[in-house]
Parts: sequence; C-alpha cells; structure tokens
Amino acid sequence: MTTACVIFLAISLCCYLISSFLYYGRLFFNKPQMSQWGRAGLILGVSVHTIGIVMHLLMSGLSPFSNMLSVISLLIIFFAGIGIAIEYLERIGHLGLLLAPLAFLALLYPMLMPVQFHEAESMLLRFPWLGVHVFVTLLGDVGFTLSFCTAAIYLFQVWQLKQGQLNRYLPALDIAGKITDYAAGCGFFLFSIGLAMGLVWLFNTPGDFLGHSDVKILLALPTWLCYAAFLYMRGIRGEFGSRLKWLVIVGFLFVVINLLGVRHDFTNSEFL
Amino acid sequence: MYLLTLGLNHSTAPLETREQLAFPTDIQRRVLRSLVNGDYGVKEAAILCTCNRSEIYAVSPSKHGIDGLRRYLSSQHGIDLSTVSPCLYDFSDGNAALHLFRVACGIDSLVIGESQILGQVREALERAQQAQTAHMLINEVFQRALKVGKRARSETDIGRGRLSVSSAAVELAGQIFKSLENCSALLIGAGEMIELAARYLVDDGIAKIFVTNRTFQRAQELSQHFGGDAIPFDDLGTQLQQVDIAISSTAAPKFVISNEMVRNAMHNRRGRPLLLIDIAVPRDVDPSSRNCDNLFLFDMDDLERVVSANRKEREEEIRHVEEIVSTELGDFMHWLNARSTGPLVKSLKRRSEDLRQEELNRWMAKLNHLSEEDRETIDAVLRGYANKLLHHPLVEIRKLAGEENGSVRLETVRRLFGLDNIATSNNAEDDPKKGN
Repeated sequence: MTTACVIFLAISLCCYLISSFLYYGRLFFNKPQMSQWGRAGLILGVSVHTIGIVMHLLMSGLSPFSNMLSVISLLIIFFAGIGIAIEYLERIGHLGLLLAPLAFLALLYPMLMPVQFHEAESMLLRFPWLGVHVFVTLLGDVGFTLSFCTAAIYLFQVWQLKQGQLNRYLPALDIAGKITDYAAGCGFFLFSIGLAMGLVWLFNTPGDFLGHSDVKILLALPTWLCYAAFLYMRGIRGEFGSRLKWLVIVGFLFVVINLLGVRHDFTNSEFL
Repeated sequence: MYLLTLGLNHSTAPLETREQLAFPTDIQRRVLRSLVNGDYGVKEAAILCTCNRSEIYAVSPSKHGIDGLRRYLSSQHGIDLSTVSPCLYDFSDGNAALHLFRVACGIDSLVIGESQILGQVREALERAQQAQTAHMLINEVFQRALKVGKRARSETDIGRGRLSVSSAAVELAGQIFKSLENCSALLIGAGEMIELAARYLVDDGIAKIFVTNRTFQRAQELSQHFGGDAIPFDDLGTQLQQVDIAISSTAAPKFVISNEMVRNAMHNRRGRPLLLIDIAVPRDVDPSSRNCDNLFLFDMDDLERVVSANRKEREEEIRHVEEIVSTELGDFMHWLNARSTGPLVKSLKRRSEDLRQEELNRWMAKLNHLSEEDRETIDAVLRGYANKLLHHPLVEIRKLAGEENGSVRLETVRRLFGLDNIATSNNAEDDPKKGN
C-alpha cells in the first residue's frame, strides 16, 4: 500500500473518531451544533475513505477481496453511506451515534492487524462466481449492520422511556423499528442470495477446495437463523415486542465474529 | 430621536395593576393615534399588550419624552401614577431595544421560551402600522425583534419541551410515534385535564379520538366537541387493544385499568407499543402493569419530572439566546448611530456657519474702509478656516457610529459643541413619515 493511501485511510480513521465524539458530545453536552459537525465528520470520513481505498485498488491492481482492509472498507463505506442517507431521508438524528464508532473500530482492526487473503484471492481469480457471492453477502452484512444500529437505538429508547426519561434527540420508536425491519429484511434477502450462491458453487464444483467443517460456513447458519426468526416473528406473526430486537443484536454478533474472527479452512484444499 | 419604553409586566406588577393599565386590542389603534397626535412629544408609537405585560414603545425627539408617556398613561387610565410607579419600568435607546429583543425571544416571559409572544409582537407592529404610528424607527426595531425571536427559536432549544402536564403527555407520544397523523387515542374520563389533553392531541394532528366515561352522555359531549367517537365504559378493555395512546383521568377511588386488563390488551396487540398516561390522583392504572413489554406507562410524578426537566433545559438555553440578542443589538445600535450622525453633522455645519456669519457681520461693521475684494478675501479665509477645523471632527463622528458606546460619544460631541437645542429643533422639524 502506498504512503498516500495510508494517509487517506488514517485521515478517515481520525474523521470517524472525531465524528463519534461529536455525536456523543451532542448527547451529553446538549449542544445542537455538535451533531451537525458529527454528521459532517462522518461524511468527510466516508469520502476520504472511498478515495483512499479506490487509490489503493487502482495502484495495486488487486481485487477488492484480496485483503481484510479492502473488504472491511467496502463494508464501512456502504453502511456509513446508506446510514447517512437514511438520517437525511427519514429526518432522524443520531444514527451516527453507532455508525461512527462502528466505522472507526471496523477500520482500526484491519489497519492494526492486516490480513492478506492469498488463498481466497487465488480462488476468486479461478472462480469469478465467488467474487459475486462475496460481494452480495457483504451487502447483506451492510443491512445487518444498519439494523443492528437502529435496533440498539430502539432498545435504548425503550429503556429510557421505561425509566420515565425523555430523549428527544433519538428517533421515535416507530421509526427506529421500521428502519430495523427494512434493513434486516434487505440484509437477510441479500445474505440469503449470497449464501445460496456460495453453497451452489460448493456443491457443484468438482474437487475439495474447502475443509469439511469450514467454520465460516458453519457460522453463517446461526446468523441466517437469527434473522430468519426475527423476520418470521415480525413479518408473518406480526409481533412487535422490543425483545425481538435482541435477535437482531445477537445476529449481528455472529456477523462480526464471522467477518473478523474466522477464516475459510483451506488446509485440505487440493487447490493449494 | 430617542427610542423609549414604558411598561409593566408579571414580574413587576400584580394582576390587579396589570388589569388596570391594560390596553384592550379594540382600542389600541385609537390610543396610538391620540398618543402621537397629542401633546406628549411622541412621534411614533406601538403598544405591546398581553396577559402578562403592557408596554408602550415610542419615539420621541427628546430624551425627556418618557415624562410625556407617563402623563399619557395617567390620563388614559385615569389614575394617579404615583400609586403604580414602583410597578413601572422605563428604558431608552439601546436598553429599550434590548428589552424588546428579550421579550420577543420569550426569555422575559412568565413561561420561558413560550412561542405566542412572537405573534403578539408581530400583531403589535401591525396595529401600529394600521394606526399609522409606526414609521422608520418603530418599524426597524420591531422587525429586528421578530428576526431575533425567530433566530432564538431556530438556533437554540429555548422553545423545546412542553411545560404543562397535559402537553407533556403529548410530547411523550412524540417519543414513540413520529407523527400522530396515523395514531388513535382513547381518553378515559371527561374532566378538565382530559379536555386539555384532547386539545393538545388535536392540535398535533391525531387521526382519531375515542372518549369513554362512566356517564356516557358526558363522553358523547366531549367526543363531539373534538370530532371523535364515544364508547361505552364497559368496552374499555377492548378499546385498549386498538388504540396507540390512552390517557386516563377519572375521579375513581380504585384502579380503572387493572394489570390483567393491560396484559390482555398487550397480548392481543402482539407487543405493538401502547402509551398509557395516567394523570389521575388517585391513580387509574395499576402500576404493576408497567413491566409489560412495549407498554409505556407514565403517571403524574413522571409527567411532573418531564415538565421540570424541560423547564430546566429552557433555563439553560437562556445564555445562548442572550448571545444572539447581544449580536443583534450590536447591529441595531450601529444602524441607529449611523442614522443619528446625519442630523448631527448637519447641525454642526450649521453652527459653524452661523458663528462665521455672526463674527463677519460684527467685524465688517467696524472695517468700512476695506474694499469689496478685501471683504470677500476675509470671508473666504474664515470659511476655509472653519472647514479645515471641522474636517477631522466630522470624519471622526462618522466613524463613531460604528463603535461600541457610539451613541454616548455622539452625545458628548453634541454637548461639546452646544448642539442639544439645535439637534432637537432639527429633529422636531423632521417628518417621521419621510423615513417610512
């Protein structure tokens, strides 16, 4: 990675951190301008991040899925970008309360612990279909991230109201609930398609390319089940309870573990 | 010209005195015309009269114009002012504008940050315009006050949060439902508190109101008044399953809504949020139902806490509003001083010319032997001398208009050159309508 790219990514990291402080500053110090500055910081962070990662991909000629930094960067750019758009369109404030620190932590992790996906990249070069699978699954994760943010805001708002406290800086419950439903629904749809594409490839490609008990594939199952249960209860049974939102939170934890904590098992791969 | 304010408000006068010195809306135009046309030394005037204040804003050519206002107040209300003098306050120029700006922002109101005052300031200006007693200065200061009031409300949280129990109930609804346009409310009881809550709900655009009461006829009367439906008291449990908001205020000595009733309703609602507000004492809703998922139960104590927090928040915003007022006052004073330098410069030049002419006439009578040419030379020398002497002071006077305390310094200039009488007489000649 060139020095210029590193500088761009470092600037965006700082923007996400400052934006986080500003969003929380609005909450605790009651200064209305701080949330506007926070939003501006987040927009600036996403813009600089995009420039940095595009520069990196163009200069290195690598695929976006060749390393952890690029994959996570795509995730951040999508969820922060869509989150800012939702804040603007739905006129709700403080989605950035969670988006900004998430973006900061998500970018910090691969910058501190860079991981190269050499095997995965070789596989992607041989099977372009897998690239589509990864991209679509990643878009599903974007939906899950957004639904996590709004579900957390919903639960915090419920907790405050139960304590008899008002927090007019957070969105109304019905809006937070609606965005959670839509984001989880879209995320689930894309994640399911991505997962199906991966499984179709796995069962139809001759040869052993992955381990028989690949943890990444196995962990996708509880993620899928969490969101499937949430959408079934919410969409088909028509349940509204705030406890349902915990399914979204748990589902997101599986997403984080799967994304950052585990790798595909190539030990028995005949490709290597 | 001097901007003056004479008045009283809730913090300086008891209700009886405020009633005594009030100006009913229907007579204000007549009052304004008689004030400006009478012998009170007033060129422009406006009256701001609300339930908490009666104030006259006037423009006078003399700074003693406040005495004229006091005389008028006394004659208009037929009272001896010495009896109410301690309740009256008066301000002039910058302080008068500062007072009006603070009033327009709502920080001088009984309920801090209340929004009606801005409309009342606008109406006061409109009435003065209709009475043709608002010209350049009154128009300018009121327009700026409206601007300051709008800025205070848009740039600070001075107007946020409700300050009565019934309106706080509606504010709570806003925490759960973004808009009340798709929500329905059930009002349990038909007393004054319920009526107030219904009014706030309707004002906030609630889609449907249901009213239930042990006396069905009273429920019908109230529901008709707000365009809702009355339902029998026995259907309360069923109705709780349907509505989004329920507000209860009955005089029942026991719980009207039991824990079981709430749990049944929440079960059938499948956890759809229900805002249940209990503003009855003793309480109407069993507090043990508070634990139900997505049921938000607020009683009188909770609402009092919300109101108290809102009041505290508004008080904390006063500092931000004062900053806006201070900035706008600076701009206004700059405008006011710039406007007053014109007559001052004019009178200074006239004073210089009068002195030159006076001295010339006195000495020419003694210098009969001089030729016409010599006389013209002496005249030119004196004119040149006077112009050169005045050049620097005139430049500085123009600069003073933009400076802090400019009006005080301009006053000093007026006194140094003995221009008080000249300036006053010049201003008195000005037709105020010229600037309108």
